[in-house]
Amino acid sequence: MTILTLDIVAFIISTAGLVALLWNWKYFSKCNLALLFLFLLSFTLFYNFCLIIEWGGITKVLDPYENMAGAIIPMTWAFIFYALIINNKNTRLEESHGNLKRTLHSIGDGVIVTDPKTEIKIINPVAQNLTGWNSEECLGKELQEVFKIVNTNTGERVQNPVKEVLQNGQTVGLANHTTLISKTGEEHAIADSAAPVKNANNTLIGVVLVFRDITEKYKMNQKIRKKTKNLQEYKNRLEATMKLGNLAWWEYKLDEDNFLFNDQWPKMLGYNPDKFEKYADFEKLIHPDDHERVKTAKNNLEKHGEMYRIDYRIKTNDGNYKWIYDIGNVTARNSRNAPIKTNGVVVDITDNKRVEERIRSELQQKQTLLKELSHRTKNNMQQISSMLSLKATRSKNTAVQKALDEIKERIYSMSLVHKMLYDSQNLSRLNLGKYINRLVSHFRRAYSKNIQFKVSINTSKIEVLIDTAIPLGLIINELISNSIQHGFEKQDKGEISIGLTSSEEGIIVDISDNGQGLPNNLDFDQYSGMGLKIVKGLVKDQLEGEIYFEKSQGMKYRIIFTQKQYKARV
Amino acid sequence: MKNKHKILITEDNFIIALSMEEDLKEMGYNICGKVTTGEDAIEAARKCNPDLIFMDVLLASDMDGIEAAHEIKKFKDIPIVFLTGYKDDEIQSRIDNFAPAGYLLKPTGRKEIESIINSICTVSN
Repeated sequence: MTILTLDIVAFIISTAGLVALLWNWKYFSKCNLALLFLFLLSFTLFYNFCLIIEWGGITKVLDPYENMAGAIIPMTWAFIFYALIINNKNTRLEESHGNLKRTLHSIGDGVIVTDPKTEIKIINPVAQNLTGWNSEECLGKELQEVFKIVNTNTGERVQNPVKEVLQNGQTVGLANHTTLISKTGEEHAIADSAAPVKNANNTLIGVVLVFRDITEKYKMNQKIRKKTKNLQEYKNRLEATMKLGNLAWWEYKLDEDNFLFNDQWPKMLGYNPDKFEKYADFEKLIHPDDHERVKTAKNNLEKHGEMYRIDYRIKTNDGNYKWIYDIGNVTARNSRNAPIKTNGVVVDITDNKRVEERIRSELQQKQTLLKELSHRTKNNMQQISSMLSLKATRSKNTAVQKALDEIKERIYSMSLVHKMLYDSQNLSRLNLGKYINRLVSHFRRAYSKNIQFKVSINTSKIEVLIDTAIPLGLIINELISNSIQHGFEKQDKGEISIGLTSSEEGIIVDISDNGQGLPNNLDFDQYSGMGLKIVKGLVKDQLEGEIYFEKSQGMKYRIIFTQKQYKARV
Repeated sequence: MKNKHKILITEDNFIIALSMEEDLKEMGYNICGKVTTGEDAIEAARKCNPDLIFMDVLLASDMDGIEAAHEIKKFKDIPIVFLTGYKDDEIQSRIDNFAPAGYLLKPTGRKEIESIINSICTVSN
């Protein structure tokens, strides 16, 4: 190769080097020796050019420098390579730098990066949005000027965490209830953290602050807290009132075989609620005599949806039994309309039951007493009657005997009332038809004459009080004995009819005989024989009724009265 | 107090009233009335102006004997003897409150009636 060829090659190479240098000048400028290389390359280029064109005296002048030029060529190559490498590095750096920036920009949280002097280096769009500052405005500003945070509740300024990170070199989270106040005064509740950024030598080169708007979440939390508080209050209220009323609730989910209840249920019975989990825990405490009933009722509720209402005894912790009233109903059904959930409430009715029992027993006592009273009254009257009998048998005087017998008959009609009251279930009312029948039976036995008694009771449902039965009995007795003594005086057989009817006017008692009746010249109203006097008095005063009589083929009497309302006399 | 003195009987049981009437008549008294209710007693007292009233306490009317006695006392101070077949604390206190001329527990016999009339006579005379 001739020296000229070498010179051309050198020229080409230095040109290439220079071009490469200039092409990457942006990156070269950062390199410290950039200008030096630029000069050398330019010189080499020029020199080689001169050599080529063998330009006049310059070549001669430059001759001693030929070796230098030769030295510069490899330098140039090195330089080119160096340039390329640096370029590559820088491009890659720039790329990754660009990606980083794009990443930061697409993060959904606010990101602010500061240097160790808390000056803002990077602020992403979300952070800009929340703080209200533009990127250009705040780059270089101190963090606290842009990032203003206060305590949500007190409104007091809170120290920004970046300072703390710079002090401790550790990651820091913000306290709860922090509010960020934007440039325009908008408030956002935020949650955030700040972390140190360290280089390869572990030196702190900055702080990255990440934060997000939790206003919505915060509001939601507040709502939930309030609702929970309300619910808790409601629950407490319910529990307290149920406790006051000695009530407890229960719920049974049939499809899950899950029995729920509040603590008041076992507590009411003196047990520790923890020992109770399922229905069986309660069931085993039910009184053995009530078991079947409860089981049946529960079954009817769960299978047939029948309302559940039952009282039963249940054993308490101290071994006694309490009376419980259990009420429940089906509250949910499935698509086939079968019950799947039942709810109910239990009430302690022990006290009520005691009162009920006491009242029932007192009532029972009183009823027994009343009956006894009727019995004793009848017996007392019997005694009187017996005394009269004794007197009668000792008397030789027929008039006396007759008188005593009359009185005995009157007593009988009264004591029969008491006897029938005692025998019947009713303690105050007497079936009038039955009474008349029995009275007549007695007359049939008592009177020796051949008297036919005909009784027609047209209403079997008439019931009267004692106050009516007694005078009525006396009246009937009086009229019948009158008929027998006076009406049939001259006969030895006859017929007496007694009828009982009910009408609009009231109760009607008819008594008639087929005897001779009263003497023609006697007026019933004027007749003041004791028997009829008594009859009149009893009808008018006692029964407040009317008596009519008629004399035709014997005597006919009609007594009409209405049943008075019962009035307590005692 | 005998002879022509008038007595009013208030008794809702006819037979008892009848018996009492006959006893008193035999003792020589006039019976100016036999009534069965409190209201009738007041009216009879006004009309016939008796010298003594036998008043049954428990009557079939809304107004009982003690109430009727109070009403009668308002217009005339007639001595009243209560008749009672039943007595409890309430009735006793109401009787005491009225301060009658006397009272008898039923069943009464002729002897009791006589002695009470005598005691009233000695007091008023």
